[in-house]
Amino acid sequence: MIRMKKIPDGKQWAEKLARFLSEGRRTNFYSRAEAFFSEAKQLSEMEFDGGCYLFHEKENQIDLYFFLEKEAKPEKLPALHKPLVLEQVAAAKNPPNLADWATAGFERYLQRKRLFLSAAKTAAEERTVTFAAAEEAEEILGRMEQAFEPYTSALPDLETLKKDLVENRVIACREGEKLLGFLRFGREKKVSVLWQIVVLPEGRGRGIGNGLVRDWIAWERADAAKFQLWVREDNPSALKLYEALGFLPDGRIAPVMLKKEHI
Amino acid sequence: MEALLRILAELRPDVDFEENKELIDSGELDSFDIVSLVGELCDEYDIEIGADDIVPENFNSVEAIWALVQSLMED
Repeated sequence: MIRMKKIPDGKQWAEKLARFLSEGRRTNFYSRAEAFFSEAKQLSEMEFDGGCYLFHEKENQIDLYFFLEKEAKPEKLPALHKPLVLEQVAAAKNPPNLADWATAGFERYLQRKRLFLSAAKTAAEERTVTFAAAEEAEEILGRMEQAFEPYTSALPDLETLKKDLVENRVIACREGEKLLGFLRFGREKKVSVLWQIVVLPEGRGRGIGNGLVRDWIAWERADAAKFQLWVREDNPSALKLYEALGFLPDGRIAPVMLKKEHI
Repeated sequence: MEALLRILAELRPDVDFEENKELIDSGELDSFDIVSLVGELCDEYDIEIGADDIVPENFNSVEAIWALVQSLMED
């Protein structure tokens, strides 16, 4: 008998999560439980023989996290009222068993891989880097929403984006006043991470993507030890661009699956 | 220790584990890596790594990880 229930107490749930972790259960939950406390109202769990699911409801989707005992297979998923999204991160050499998840009701959706470039391998380059302004936040967010798939593109909300704009973390490429492309990045300790890059249709085929990535490297290379990004494996032009600049796969992949049909 | 080095090399072939002594503090290993690593270490050494053990000091270097594994094997 499967029952889904709301999570009333974040602290109790965090203890449960710590237990799962110490039991060495397989999971796609990499955050600290505390980071989800404020979202407790959006969380539900489902326990079954050999594991537990955690559902995190968002505006247009529900993210699925799993905690599976070593040999356990995923339990079949119930029909929910929004599309269910399953993102996993794994070593390319030891990929997750997507067939088991297909049996549980998911379809393959896309796969990303992570690329890196050591700052030590980059050469100093004189570039004039220009940044997008806070007043452009709505336009930039709108462009991101048009350019990226809706479920797992890690798009910022408007407030976060405005903050990034004020703090010079969105590099812009313009022709006169007109925005042709932009690149949003962030820093995680000594790793500089490319979050999104967009070249508008009217700017394509002109080396603008290449210029934005080189701007990012030139701007960050003094302070970052490493550059990092995720790229879709079905995006050959992006892969070619990054490889030409010296980026290499670091062995991480992130397959995303989707359960579209819903009530 | 050999098994640990093999696990780390397979997990992150791009990282120089001999050189880097601030794997967490430099951002070289992230939460994905730690969760995967904890699972692998539990399997390999038949130990349980609790939430209290998952702190940066225990994962900043190969030596620190090895010390953690050894202390848990003695328990």
